[in-house]
Amino acid sequence: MHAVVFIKQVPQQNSVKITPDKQIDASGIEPIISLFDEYAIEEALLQVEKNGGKVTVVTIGGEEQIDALRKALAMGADQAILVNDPALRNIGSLGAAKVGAAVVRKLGDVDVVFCGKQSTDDETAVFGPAVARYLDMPVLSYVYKVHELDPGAKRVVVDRAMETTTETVEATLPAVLTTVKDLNQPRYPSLLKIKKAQKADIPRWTAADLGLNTAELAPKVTYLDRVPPPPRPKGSMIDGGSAQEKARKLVDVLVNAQVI
Amino acid sequence: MANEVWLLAEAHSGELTAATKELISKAQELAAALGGQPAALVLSSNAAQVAETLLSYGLPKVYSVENPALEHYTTDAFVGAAAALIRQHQPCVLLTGASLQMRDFTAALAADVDAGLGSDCTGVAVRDGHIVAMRPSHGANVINTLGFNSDLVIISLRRQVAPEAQPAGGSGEVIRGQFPQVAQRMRVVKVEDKSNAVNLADSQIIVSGGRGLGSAENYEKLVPTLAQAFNGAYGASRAIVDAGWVPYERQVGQTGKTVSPKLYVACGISGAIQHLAGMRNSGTIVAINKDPDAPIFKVATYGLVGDVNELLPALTEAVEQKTRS
Amino acid sequence: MDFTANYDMFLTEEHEMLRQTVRQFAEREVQPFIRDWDREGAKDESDMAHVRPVLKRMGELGLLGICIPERYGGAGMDYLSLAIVCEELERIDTFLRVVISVHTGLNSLAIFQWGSDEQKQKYLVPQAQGVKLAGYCLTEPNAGTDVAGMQSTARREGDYYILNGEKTWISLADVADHFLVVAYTDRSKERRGMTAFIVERTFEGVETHAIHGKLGVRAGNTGSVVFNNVRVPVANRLGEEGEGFKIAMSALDNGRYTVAAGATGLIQAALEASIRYAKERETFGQPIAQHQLVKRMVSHMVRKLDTSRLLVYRAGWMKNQGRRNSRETTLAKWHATVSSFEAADDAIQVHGAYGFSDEYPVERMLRNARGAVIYEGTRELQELLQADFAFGFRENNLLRRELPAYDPAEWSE
Repeated sequence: MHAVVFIKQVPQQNSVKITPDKQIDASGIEPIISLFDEYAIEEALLQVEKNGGKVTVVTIGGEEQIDALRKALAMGADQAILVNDPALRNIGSLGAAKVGAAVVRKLGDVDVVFCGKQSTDDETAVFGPAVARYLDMPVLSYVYKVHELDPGAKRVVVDRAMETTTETVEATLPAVLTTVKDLNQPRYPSLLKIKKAQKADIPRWTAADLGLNTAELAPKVTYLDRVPPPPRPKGSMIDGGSAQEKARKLVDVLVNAQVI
Repeated sequence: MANEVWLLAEAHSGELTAATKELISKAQELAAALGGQPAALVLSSNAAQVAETLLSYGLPKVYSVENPALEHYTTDAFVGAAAALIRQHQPCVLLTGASLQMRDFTAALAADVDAGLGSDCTGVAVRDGHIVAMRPSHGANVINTLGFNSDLVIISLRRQVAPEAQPAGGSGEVIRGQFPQVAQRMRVVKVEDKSNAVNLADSQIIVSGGRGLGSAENYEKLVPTLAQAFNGAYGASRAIVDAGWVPYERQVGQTGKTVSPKLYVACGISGAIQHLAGMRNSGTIVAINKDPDAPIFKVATYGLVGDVNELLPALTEAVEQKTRS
Repeated sequence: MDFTANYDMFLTEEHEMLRQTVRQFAEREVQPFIRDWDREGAKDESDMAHVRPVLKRMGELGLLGICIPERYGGAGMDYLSLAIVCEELERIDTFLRVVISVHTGLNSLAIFQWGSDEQKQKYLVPQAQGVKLAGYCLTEPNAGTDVAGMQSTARREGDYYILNGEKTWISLADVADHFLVVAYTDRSKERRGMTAFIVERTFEGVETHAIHGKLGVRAGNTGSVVFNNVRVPVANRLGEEGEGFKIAMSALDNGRYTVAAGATGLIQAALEASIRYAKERETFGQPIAQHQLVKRMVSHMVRKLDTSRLLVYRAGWMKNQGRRNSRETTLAKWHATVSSFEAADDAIQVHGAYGFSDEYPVERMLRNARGAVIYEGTRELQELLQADFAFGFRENNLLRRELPAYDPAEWSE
């Protein structure tokens, strides 16, 4: 089977700055693979270990994204592709999904696509369902357990973790699966593969390689403004001699403020 | 193109959800500002009944598709049905809730009908005749104002952004749509309620525990008890979820759940940036921590310095006393 | 800020990914529990149940054979990688780094340097794979710095040596499967009468027991190893008869290197904790990070961190080249360990009274840092060595067998 994993490199902490021209500045913050994407990589590796085949990891972005791809290779992915084209910057989640769909089409023989349920920076949760739609594949989002993934029978059965329910859903393959935390335990890069990953040849694909008309990728969403969240009003400390006294005072304050 | 502002209505056992009632208010507000009309969209296996309820809220139009395939949400069926109606009637706005299903739905739908999409927004308004939406990103460290240049704007909206609409009586019309031919590639095999699951996002009061509790036993002993006294739900910090004290579904924070209850009580939680991202929009925040310099106190409305293992039983006691009296 | 940036003259992307991996392991699988383990380890009756699972994980990850060629079961990375592993482990707790020091630095590298091919196959391969754990037995109740004062003996009897003696302050005493032991085969020849042996725990007459009441490294196992008429096959002699002292000293060149690298990691941990706390804690209406005397403590930690790291990486670079590095390694060990104790001390001061409690990690850092100023060559011994090198009384002499230079291609075969 051929599993494709879309991953994204994001700042480890979200203590980003906003530039005067309203762009996000994450300089000085350690870049990492977005948390939920690590579960996507691990699940792809587990499924390919079970069924045989290969795992391809793909990122859309600049050269700085290469570290994320190399880490995925060191975890065990078989090949990596970086879609790097200045014309593909700031195209939004839907634009990225169009590019992602073009990558899967070019790869051709794909049985399953994995990605994290959302990135931990933009947090839109749009990429997975949208890429499925562009590919005309079913999407299984918020997967927290894979019961069965059988490329021969073209069938996948998963549990989806919803707010108060667990849904067991089956779908035909090829399909797109988006992953939540604790679906599995992502492995560490293997030391032997770290060495190989550094030497691995990672092809760069452009919009032209993918046959994309960049005019059609213009985002339909614009950022009119970006600001930090308003500071919370300054709070007050509840003092008291004993724990009981402090607790009583707090309850009084909450009642008076009509919070409880 | 019709100047219609649609909302996707959801109902449980015939009752409109609270989120839907908020969306009705919001759709009415936006439609008035745009000089258009609000309308509801209902996709369900018993759409007729829900449509009648919607009309009683004074909506002039309800678009409805009824089909057994719409009993359980599947992306294929819901997006297929919605896309067909949208192509036919061309609304300018579609509002939905921001539940996980709705975020899945809006993403696939926006791709399908080539709409502009604001996902998981905290506000939407009309400014100079155009729709703008507010959405936090980067763990609530950035508040984005979005503008749109598409014919259709789809917005999934979090709770508590508008008052819940009240039934006002009405004589609107129901427009029935056909369930289109869609590939039946997905099937919901079963839906199971999670044992003791609480929808943290819907809870008005949340008590959360962190590493300061010292052990999983202390968490189990103290946090649910206090939550029960408040008649609220209970959550946890990432640190103790990672340490295996508490299952992931209770995690509040950037990589867990984002919540904004009326009251949030943080017990033994230091207030790492990742936790603050998930709860800083709560109405009132109470922080209980041994360390007076813990960052949690920077966002707290009320702070108590002391040992959580002493303060929580005392607080449970005080809350129960107050409730009894 | 990233204190490991801008070492490109020594490090590659491969090192960076290794660092992230080890950091993730230590932060995820040890940091959440280390305060409890440290508390638990202080108890006399503690069974140290956490030790074996952690060592098993380190073995699975390949950390125990980090700089051993792949053909001997290792990861085939270089000696700078060994330093990075030590830095990142001791950034979380010293007991993790001690494992690398004795298992990899003192024992496995000695077998790699001095062992026959049979010995490498039999002992180095399972050690590098992390299947077997290894310790190093030099110190005795009455012989520390004065190695020649040791009393252990090995008497040849046919195809065996009969080993007798007691070794103490042995890390992993209760856990290790193999010990590298130095004993007199001919006391009259003094240093030239010592011989090194590989002894298995299962050999009859080997007994171990734990040492309790340690100031630091409480999460780690330390103990005594007693040899009572232990029959050690001649095939288990490492090097020639009489080469034991040289083998022990060359092993220390590797052990001290790991100690120096670990101490660098501890300085970084002390600095990071201090920065975090000083930005949060406010006195006199501003974060204490704005107070000049707090700034001084932090700036001194930065100086100690960077100088220690540079000294360690220089020694590692020399090891990669296959150059003798006793002078450079002992200098790094001396400077980094003394600096780590001072940095932990200052970190407590930055934390004020909180630093005096185990609510914060800095008091553990201080207790952990203290030992390294004594073991694997005291501060005083290192000072004397540096003077002797400077005066020309001592040189980096060549050995019969040198630690092999790093060869990326050959080590990956």
